[in-house]
Amino acid sequence: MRLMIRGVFWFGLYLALILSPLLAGAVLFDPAQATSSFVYIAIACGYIALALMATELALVSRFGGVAGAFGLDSLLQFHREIGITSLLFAIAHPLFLVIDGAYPIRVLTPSVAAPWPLTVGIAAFIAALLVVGLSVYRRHLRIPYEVWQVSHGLLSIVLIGFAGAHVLGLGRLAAHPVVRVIWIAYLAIFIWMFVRYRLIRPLLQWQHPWEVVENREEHGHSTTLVLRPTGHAGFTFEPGQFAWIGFGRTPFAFTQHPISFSSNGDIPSHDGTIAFTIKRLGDWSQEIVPAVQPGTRAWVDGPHGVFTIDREEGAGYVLIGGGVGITPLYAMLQAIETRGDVRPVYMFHAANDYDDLTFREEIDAMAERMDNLTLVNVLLRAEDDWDGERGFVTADILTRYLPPRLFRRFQYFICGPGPLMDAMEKVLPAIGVSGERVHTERFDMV
Amino acid sequence: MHHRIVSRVVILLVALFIAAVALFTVAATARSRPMAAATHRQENPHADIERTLECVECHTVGLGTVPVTHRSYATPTCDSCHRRSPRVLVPHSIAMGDSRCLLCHGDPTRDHGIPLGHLAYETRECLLCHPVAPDRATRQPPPAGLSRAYAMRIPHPLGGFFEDCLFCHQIGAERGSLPDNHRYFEVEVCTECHKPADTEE
Repeated sequence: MRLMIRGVFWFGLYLALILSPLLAGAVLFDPAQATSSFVYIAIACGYIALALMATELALVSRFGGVAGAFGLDSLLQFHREIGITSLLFAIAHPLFLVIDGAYPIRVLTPSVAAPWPLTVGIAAFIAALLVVGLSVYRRHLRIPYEVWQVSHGLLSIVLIGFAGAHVLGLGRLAAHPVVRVIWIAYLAIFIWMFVRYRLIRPLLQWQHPWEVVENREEHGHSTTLVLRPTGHAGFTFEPGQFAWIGFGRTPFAFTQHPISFSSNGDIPSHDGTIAFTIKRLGDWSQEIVPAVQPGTRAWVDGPHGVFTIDREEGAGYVLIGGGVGITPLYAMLQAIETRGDVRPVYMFHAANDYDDLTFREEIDAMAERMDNLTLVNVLLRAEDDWDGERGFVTADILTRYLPPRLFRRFQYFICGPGPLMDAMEKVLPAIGVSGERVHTERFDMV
Repeated sequence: MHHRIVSRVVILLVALFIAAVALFTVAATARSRPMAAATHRQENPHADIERTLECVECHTVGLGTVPVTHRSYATPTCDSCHRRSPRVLVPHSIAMGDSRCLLCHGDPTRDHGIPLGHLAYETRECLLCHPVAPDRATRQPPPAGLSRAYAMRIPHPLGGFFEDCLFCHQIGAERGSLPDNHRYFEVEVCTECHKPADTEE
């Protein structure tokens, strides 16, 4: 309930932030600035576009309250979809000006003679196209994640700076002092968020360094890094949560990666050691991570995430994982065992083949120890002597193992490739599981 | 499941934002209707010879001739939007003297009235930009300069009770008031310009 109240509060605040410049512009509208309806539409679209873009950073800058209410993966998705939405409103802005004929088309194209507020507006528009376009098509363009992350941040600064100058230098509504003050406050908040995100937060991290103590190979082309806090006690985390990690002499590097904990946060007299398991998928995970040596300085920003069994009440748990998506589910299993939780647990572990079953020995051993754990391995390509399930995780496989009727009262946690999660989000409601009991974790946004 | 909820929330927000755009447009249009015509994009009435290098020498924000939204524009950009149009020439003699233009042209709401953007100019400045048309230099101005205004036609008889125009048409009266620029006219001269509706000049 508290989470819901927090969610309603933050959502209401977000709506107020987006609409308040437009509302102030309408209330304080000076009739001397009168123009045509199409220009009003263009102005309103521009205001909403800039307000959406200026608040985008707040969604992903890891504010505890916001992330705690919605979950960082949901916020990342919201950030992405709202980014596309804001671009559509930004496109509508010049489009309606041209339709109206208020400005000749040549004024809306870059030229030396153009007024500077128009020039910076055009620059902001191009920056918006790049910010959204490079994010949506990063994979098609084969842009490395690290390069994209740096360019995304820099282009966003250019975008907000130029767009703010455009509104203040040209804005019809921003002629009113109150509206100007509102926009200046927005820009100041954006700068503060950026400074907090890129300067203050790393400074705080700097006081809490970590050290890599082990780097070991895992099945499924994965690597587990074990980290130990240096000069501090570390932190506890809920099973299923994740943290942003990076390496280097300082935590000021732009590139940090969200990785789920694969260790147990519930070990009694925990020494602070934590582990992350990373699949070799991109440049960072293929080249940097396997080469990390014990003793390497690491920086950890966490814990984050609401994909955890600690926040969902149920009569039992069903954990459905594929590939390296097994990592947070493995952390959940460890916590359930440590706590002596006797509620039934069903794990469906999907992989391409037997060698891809990350943590298979560890989970097999847990299945031996835990009477309440039912382990079902599902392989896409299996040897003839494979006695487990074959193919994909389907409704047929699920209903064959899950207890009739009681399965509707379980909580379902799914992590893995997109198609697996998409399929489960259709299959589970189809067999009678309430959507509120289905939880997924998606970070593969760009 | 959360990601579907997020997508639905985004769709809901888009609908909300579109509604906000529509509401803003309606509100702004309603508030600006009386001014809309006056503030439509103006053409540049100046010929090359009378243009200065800096438009803002004359068109300053302080004088109200440059919209506040244009305050950041440099002069070379004026032409980008404001097409040049033929300048307005005075189509009659100026025998009355250049200090009395506003006597006839002072009301922006009347035919040949001074444009709203010119209200801050001194009378003596009119002829700087509006010289007399050479082919009409000897022509007399229409009566009181109100050539086609509705007021030049008197819609009632002038006998009896109506002989004293000022009995009804007083300066400052709520009904039937005289324009402010008629303040110094004597009642005897009214009919020099204003004819009963059924008479011709």
